[in-house]
Amino acid sequence: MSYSNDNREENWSGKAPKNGTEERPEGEAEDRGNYDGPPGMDPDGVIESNWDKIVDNFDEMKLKEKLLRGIYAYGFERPSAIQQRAILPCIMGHDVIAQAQSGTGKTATFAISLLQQIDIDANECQALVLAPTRELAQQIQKVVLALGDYMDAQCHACIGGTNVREDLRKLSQGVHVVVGTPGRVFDMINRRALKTNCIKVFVLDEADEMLSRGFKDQIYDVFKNLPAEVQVSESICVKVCDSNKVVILLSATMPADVMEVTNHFMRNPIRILVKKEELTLEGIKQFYVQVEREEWKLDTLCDLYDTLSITQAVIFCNTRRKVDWLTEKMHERDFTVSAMHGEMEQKERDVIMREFRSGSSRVLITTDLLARGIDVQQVSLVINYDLPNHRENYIHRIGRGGRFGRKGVAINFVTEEDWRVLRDIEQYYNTTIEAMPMNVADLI
Amino acid sequence: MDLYSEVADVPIDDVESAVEKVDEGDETNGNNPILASSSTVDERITRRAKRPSKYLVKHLSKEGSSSPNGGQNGGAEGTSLLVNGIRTAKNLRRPRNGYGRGLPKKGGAGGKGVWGKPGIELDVPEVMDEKDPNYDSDSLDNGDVTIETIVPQLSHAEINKHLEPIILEYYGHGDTKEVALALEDYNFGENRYLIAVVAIELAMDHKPSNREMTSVLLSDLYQHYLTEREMEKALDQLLRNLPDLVLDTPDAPTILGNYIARSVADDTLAPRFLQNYQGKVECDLAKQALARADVLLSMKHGMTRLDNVWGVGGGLRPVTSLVRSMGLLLQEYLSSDDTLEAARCLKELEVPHFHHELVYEAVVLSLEAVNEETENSIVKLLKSFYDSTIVTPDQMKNGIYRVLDDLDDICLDVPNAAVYLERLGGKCKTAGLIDEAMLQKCNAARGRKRFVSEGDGGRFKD
Repeated sequence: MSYSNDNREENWSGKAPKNGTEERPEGEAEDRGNYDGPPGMDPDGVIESNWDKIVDNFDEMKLKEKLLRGIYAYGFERPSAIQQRAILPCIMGHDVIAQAQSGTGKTATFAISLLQQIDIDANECQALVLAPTRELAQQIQKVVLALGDYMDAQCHACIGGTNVREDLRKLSQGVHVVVGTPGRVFDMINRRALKTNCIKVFVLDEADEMLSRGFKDQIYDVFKNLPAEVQVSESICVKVCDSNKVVILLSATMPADVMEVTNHFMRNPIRILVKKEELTLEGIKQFYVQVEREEWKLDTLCDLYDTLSITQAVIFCNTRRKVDWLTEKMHERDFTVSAMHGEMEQKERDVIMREFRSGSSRVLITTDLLARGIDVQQVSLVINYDLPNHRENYIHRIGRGGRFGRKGVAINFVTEEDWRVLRDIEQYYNTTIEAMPMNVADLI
Repeated sequence: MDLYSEVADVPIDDVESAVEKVDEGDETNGNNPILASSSTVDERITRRAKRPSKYLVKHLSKEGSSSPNGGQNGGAEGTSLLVNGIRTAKNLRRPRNGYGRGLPKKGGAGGKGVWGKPGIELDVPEVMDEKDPNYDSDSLDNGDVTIETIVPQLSHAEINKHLEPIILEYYGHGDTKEVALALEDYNFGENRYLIAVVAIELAMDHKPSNREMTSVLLSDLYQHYLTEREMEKALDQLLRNLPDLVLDTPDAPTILGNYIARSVADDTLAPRFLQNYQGKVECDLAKQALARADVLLSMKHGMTRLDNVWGVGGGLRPVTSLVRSMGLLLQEYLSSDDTLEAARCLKELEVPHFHHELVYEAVVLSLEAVNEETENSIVKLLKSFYDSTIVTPDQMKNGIYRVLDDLDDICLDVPNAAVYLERLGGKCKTAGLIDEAMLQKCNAARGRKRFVSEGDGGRFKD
């Protein structure tokens, strides 16, 4: 067996919990006090860490005021489990390994950290983020831009292809943060378009995914091109903590090859491992409504409207076309709904989301794709107008963050053909979905 | 008019009554005693038939007397008007039948020296005269311009912008018809082949299951949206793009090779595509891709194998087939003892929230195997998954709970299952996979009587 089980144990499974158990109690007590979710959702006990400071609100993180404004404007209220633990050490200049399931606010974790550390007046690349795909790179760019909006932070995602010239132009203008796949970033360094001498923060997002895509060599290539100080400090460990160069590695899983990378690039890293699944169906009441025919779903929805507008509700359809259609039909029948349309630009979507978050609109119709990246987890009622064809989407629609686990109700509209899909979902998530009771309004 | 014809045709009595009727109908009835009383029936008839205008005098005089000052002493004035009336009425162009609204006849278009109704000249259709100094050659009303709705042809950048969400959405719903519908809204013109280019480029960014879906999509779009020539053009462009693609996707040559081979297998690409390239490409990456395709196609039974070129994972597969795949990977692991390969296979299935099934299957497998060696290697596998968080603590717990729930059933085949489970639980606890409470439950399973007593409402024994 090529990979060293024992080594890993030594590294963190062994050491970390010891640290954790010794020092956790204060943090735990603090945690429990604020904990208002359903029982069993407390993430403690599944977090392994050699870092015990927990900051459970953004105000106390000593962030720049403009960054803080960006964070709240983006819609964050409280930091997630990983954010509570990982942001501070990143800012303090430690190397950090953060492990948490995808969709748990990892992106925002490092985005906040790197924005805090860049000097906005210096028009140079100060933070470099590597991501496994171009798509993810663009998503990261969006988050960084949104959070850094008030700071006026410049962030560029290298896309390549037909945009190579655009990439070169942007980089020559000078941007604070650069995001891209390892291969693309290395290409930009080779073209001398990307200057690495001022980079203070180096982030590897979804490291496991990058390695499984075969980016190992490219990651090493990029790293070799980082300023000498970073590399020198590899051998002189003492100096590391004073140095303001930070390596942050994020990953959903920690297989052997990721461990190898961390051993190469990082010095005395802080390890924050949130093993708990951040998205869970626990505490969510899931129901189905049998609707014999597709056409009758609309009537069913209208019947439910009074119930669902008591609180806020999100209605999921599978396609943008359907969203447009349903919105039109609901308006025809004088029901107030807002919707994410297919042709909407990001700005308009943000407006819709803000309306929804502020409560001025109460029912939102959307698709998985349009809802991606927006936090609808505060919503206590989700209706699957269409069952998700892709099973993984089910938990993204109705699952709740464990730390802020709230009660929630999900209602699935099920036609004759959908039965198999529903049963598959039940089996897939090892959960039960019951027929909707009459008093569903009381449960919301 | 009607009255005249009536006068001419109907028998006398009827005419009389008709006239009287007219009189009666008139509000100023009795204002014309002269006409009514002084003439015999016969005379009246002939006169009227011959000179209908004289008959009209009556009505004209009537009009005169119905004027505000002539209402009472109608008799005298009526006579004087009669004479004047005849004269003045002669050239009047008003209808003389007593009907009508007093407007000129034929709308004023009748009579001598008149060219038609007033204002008729405005209705004359305008004739376009190119020599007219006011002629507007750019006007859309000239008749030489027809306007129809067309959808503008998209530029490359626009195609990218519109296609991307369509395809990403397709990854979610998996309905190729929906994609075809969405594509209908756009005019790709000659750039249709870009559909395939964008689809494959996006697929490179995504998971194997998405690549499989892209293959399905391309083959479903074939004929209606994509022709063979367009497929060729698309793949040709991708081959040329490879040096750029490989920056973002190190595996790009292999992936493209797979796509070429799969397209041939799906009959959307002619096998000669590969032969045409032989010896003509210089780029190493393109050579790799073509070589890959060539190997895949020349393998025996290659065509059927190509259906699974992207693996068998994905969230759209039925759960039963996922369960089967997990069973297979466990079997393979037991014979190869390769945890890395098992982890890779599991990841390939792309079902991160279904890993509780793997725990369940693994535990059941070890219970059924009834030997310690299997148990040890299963624990080792679970431990490695647990440590790298491929299996989360929740999933571990869930999987074992499911085994406990099904234990009665498992006992039918493996009578000592509970004993083995206890042993396995001990090992898991040592490896740190489960906590104390879970271990207690595993141990408790052995005491077959799992309830404290019947009277306790089914409370589980601690």
